[in-house]
Amino acid sequence: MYRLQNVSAYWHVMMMSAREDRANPVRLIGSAALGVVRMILLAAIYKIAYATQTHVSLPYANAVWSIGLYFALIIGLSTRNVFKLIDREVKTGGVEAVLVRPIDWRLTKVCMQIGKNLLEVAITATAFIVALTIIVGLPDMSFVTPGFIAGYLVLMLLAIVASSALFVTVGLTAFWLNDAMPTYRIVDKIILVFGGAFVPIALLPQVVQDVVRYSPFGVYAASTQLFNPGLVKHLMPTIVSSIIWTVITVLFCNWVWARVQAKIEVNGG
Amino acid sequence: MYVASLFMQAKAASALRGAFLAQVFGMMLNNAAVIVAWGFFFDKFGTIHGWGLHDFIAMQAVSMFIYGAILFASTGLMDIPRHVDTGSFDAFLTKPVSVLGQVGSSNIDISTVGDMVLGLVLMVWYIVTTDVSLMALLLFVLSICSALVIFWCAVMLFPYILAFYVFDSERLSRYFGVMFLDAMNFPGGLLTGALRAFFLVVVPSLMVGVVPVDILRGLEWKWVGYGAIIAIVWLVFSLWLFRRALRRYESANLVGSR
Repeated sequence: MYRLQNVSAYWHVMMMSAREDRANPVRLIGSAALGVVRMILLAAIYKIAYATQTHVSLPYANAVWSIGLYFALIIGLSTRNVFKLIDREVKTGGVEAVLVRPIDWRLTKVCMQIGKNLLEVAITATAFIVALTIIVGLPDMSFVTPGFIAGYLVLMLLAIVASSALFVTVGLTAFWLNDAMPTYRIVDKIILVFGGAFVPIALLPQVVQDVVRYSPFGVYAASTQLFNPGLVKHLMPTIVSSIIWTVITVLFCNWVWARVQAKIEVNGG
Repeated sequence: MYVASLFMQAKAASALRGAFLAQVFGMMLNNAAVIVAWGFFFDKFGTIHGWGLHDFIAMQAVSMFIYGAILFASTGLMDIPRHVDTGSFDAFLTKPVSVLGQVGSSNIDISTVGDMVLGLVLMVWYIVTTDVSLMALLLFVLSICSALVIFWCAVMLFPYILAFYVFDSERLSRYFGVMFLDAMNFPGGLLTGALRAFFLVVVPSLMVGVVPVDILRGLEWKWVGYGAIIAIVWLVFSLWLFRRALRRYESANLVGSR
């Protein structure tokens, strides 16, 4: 993933993929509608739960907005689905043919995946902002400072890089397992549990929060904590930990890729 | 013919033993992760409206079992949009056997074995660890039968009929299925009021995940009757709609062999 001199080529790949979304507006509306129904359901469940408890540190609106952020950002952008593109090309043997191109195959797939979902993310995020404002009201953002926003944006960027590298690695396991789906399911669900999909990080037991923060999954968890006042106290350590784990994930991806390249047999023809 | 086709698909899918076992155990871990995630929720909020983690696990078990059983038996239905869009649906119309049976058994998702096994194990665990009467158990089995029919109609057939009306509808159909699954997999037992009524009647997800567990917990027997009525309505409606939609199909004269 080092050939950054080809930035414009990757940009074109991303924009070409973005056209796919524009071609099917009904699908975009369907996706946003599904997201809104899901959020209505989760907001209703949390409203009932919050009504039974008076000592929850995270405000109700912040909890629901945090879950919304997970679904808009992590599920919406779907960098995880890059594994499918890789898995398919490994199974069909198409990977042999694309290796001769002067741009990185893995980065091309990541750009395709992100480009494909850009419009969907924008529409879903807009729908969520409108729907959640109506359903649960605006979250408490009194703790937010320009420094916090800058730190959060860094975390979000790191989450995109780390998750792309992780799921490229997951896709590459197809070279050994014939099918990357089982590996994907395990990794994806661990991120779901510790990324704040159904239960925001701030509502997890304190010991779990501490472990998650400094674990490889802390990168994804941090990217959904824009509405968590608790992140202010841990912002710097979380950024440092996220940088370290992102670098490790990218290096691991490169190591696996090197092993894969040694394994690929080009049959010609 | 349906069973033979399904058997062949299962045999082919499990030929690579390592991949087969990885898929099954991967799915079991996948489902266990969802339980862990919501486990944190119940850990934080405790028992709500009589629903605790114990009951939520039972609800997940029922959902897993139904999802696994129906997908194992009719995954092929999810390919209807592709068959209709590419014209390969022709192959199913030329034989003197059920079109739905042929399409349903034309593909298999072997990882659903993991759903069925884990679902069954957790259901047995719940029944053994809860004071369940024989009558409740009988009603539970009946409600599972209704739930299987509702799930098949509402998730596997009804959304994919859209393919006969809208081109490239696969993802749109899946969105409806996911909406049904969401309400089936979240702790829907907590829901009250209009939202509960909506997910019991209009999109009857709670009939699949929540009602069978509620019956084990001592809910009135009349819910088994309501479930049966909803199942019959959905079955009649979706089969009628499918037959009607089938008339809209136009062959694309795809040349191929099966």
